[in-house]
Amino acid sequence: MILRKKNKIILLRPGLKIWLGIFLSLILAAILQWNWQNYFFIQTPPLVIFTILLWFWRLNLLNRFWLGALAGIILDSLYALPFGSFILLFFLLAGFIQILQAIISDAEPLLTQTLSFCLCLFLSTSLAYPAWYIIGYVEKHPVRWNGWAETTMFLSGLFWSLVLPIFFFGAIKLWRKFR
Amino acid sequence: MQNRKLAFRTGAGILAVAAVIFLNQTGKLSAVKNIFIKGLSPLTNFSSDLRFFLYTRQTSAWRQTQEAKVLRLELENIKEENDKLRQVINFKEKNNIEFKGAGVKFYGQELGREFLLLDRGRNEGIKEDDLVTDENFILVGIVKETGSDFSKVEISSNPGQNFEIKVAGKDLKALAEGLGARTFNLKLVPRDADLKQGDLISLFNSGSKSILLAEVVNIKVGGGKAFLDVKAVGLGKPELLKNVFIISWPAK
Repeated sequence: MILRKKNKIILLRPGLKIWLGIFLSLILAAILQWNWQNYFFIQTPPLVIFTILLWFWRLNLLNRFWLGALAGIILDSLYALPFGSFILLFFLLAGFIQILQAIISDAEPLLTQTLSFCLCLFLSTSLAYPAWYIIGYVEKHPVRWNGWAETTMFLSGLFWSLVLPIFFFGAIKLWRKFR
Repeated sequence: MQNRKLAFRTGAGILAVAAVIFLNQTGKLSAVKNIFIKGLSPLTNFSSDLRFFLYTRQTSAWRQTQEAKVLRLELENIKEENDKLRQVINFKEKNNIEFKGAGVKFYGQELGREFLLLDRGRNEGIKEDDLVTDENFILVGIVKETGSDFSKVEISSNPGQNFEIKVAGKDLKALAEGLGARTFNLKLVPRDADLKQGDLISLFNSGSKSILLAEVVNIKVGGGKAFLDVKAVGLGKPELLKNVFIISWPAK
C-alpha cells in the first residue's frame, strides 16, 4: 500500500480502503463547506479543494489524475461554471505538486510543508479564475470579468490559502506534541 | 525515461481534458452529467436537510423580515402608479411572461461563487437566462445551464452578474453589479440622486408586482466624481429555499 520515492515522500498506492477514505473525507469537506453560512472575509473556506490537495500530496501522478478527473467532473456537474474548469484546475495542480515534490521531501520540517500547501491552495484559487475564463471562451459561454470583484475574491483566496494550511498543520503539530 | 513517462502522461491528461470540453460542446456529456447529478442526490439532499435543520429559527425570522420589505415595496409602487395590487395571474397576462415552479435540489458555493441546482429543465420549457425568484418574487439568480430535467442557477450577487435596476418609489434607474457575498455595487447613480440607506432596489417594475433585488446599505460621495459610490445587499437567501419560481421571457 505504500510506495517510497527517491526524495522520501511517502506515497500511497490506493487500495479500496484509501479510496474509501478519500471519498468520505471529501463528502465531509463538501458538507461543511456547503453549510458554512459566515461570509467572513468574502468567501467561504475552500475545504473541498484543500482536502483534494491533501490527498494529492500522498498519491502518485496517475492516481492524482484519476482523483482530479473524478472530483472535477462532480464539481463541474453541480456548479454552473464552464464544464471542464475544475478538471483542468485539478490536472494543473497535480502537475504542480509533482514539480514541488521533486524539490522538497517528507524529511523537511513541518513549516516547509505548511508553506508548500499555502502555495498550492493559493495557486488553486489563482488558477481557478483564468481556467473559468479560458474554458468559458472555448465553450462559447464566456464568464464575465469584474475587475474589482475578482481582485477581492483573489485577496480572500489568499487569506484562506494562509489560514487553512496553518490551522491544519498547526493542529497536527499539537497532536504530535501531546500524543 | 521518467521524464518521457511524465511528458506522455501530461500530454494524455491534456488530451483528456480537451476531449471532455469537446464532448460537452456537442451535448454528448448531458447523460453523464445527469448520472452524476442523480447519483449525488443522497449527498445533496442530506446537505439541504442539514442546512434547514441547523437554520430553522433563522429561516422564520428572515421570512418575516422579507415579507415586511416586500409589502413596503408594494405600497410604494401603489402610491407611485396609483394602481391596485395585482394577482399573480394578472402579472402574467399583462406582461406575457410565463413562470413555473421548481424545487431546489442543491445549494453549493465554491471560491466566492454560489449556485443552485433545480429539479426542472428543458423538458419543462426552462431556458438559459430565465430569472429565478423565491415565493416573494425576490430575485435569487439567473438560469445559466439547462439539462433535460435539471437547471443550474448562478446567484444574482456572483461576480460578473449585472442587472438594470430601479430604486423603489423614485425615478432613478441604475446598474447593479454583483460583487459576491450577497453584495451589489450600484453604478451610474448621479451625484445629486435622492437616495438613502434602506431604499429598496427592484429589477423591473410592472405595477405593484416588482422583482426585488437588494437594499441600499452604504452611500459614499466620492471626491470630484459625477456618480455616487453605492453598495447594496441582496435580499434573497438561496441557501434557505426549497422551492423557487422561474420567470421565462417570451421568445423574441
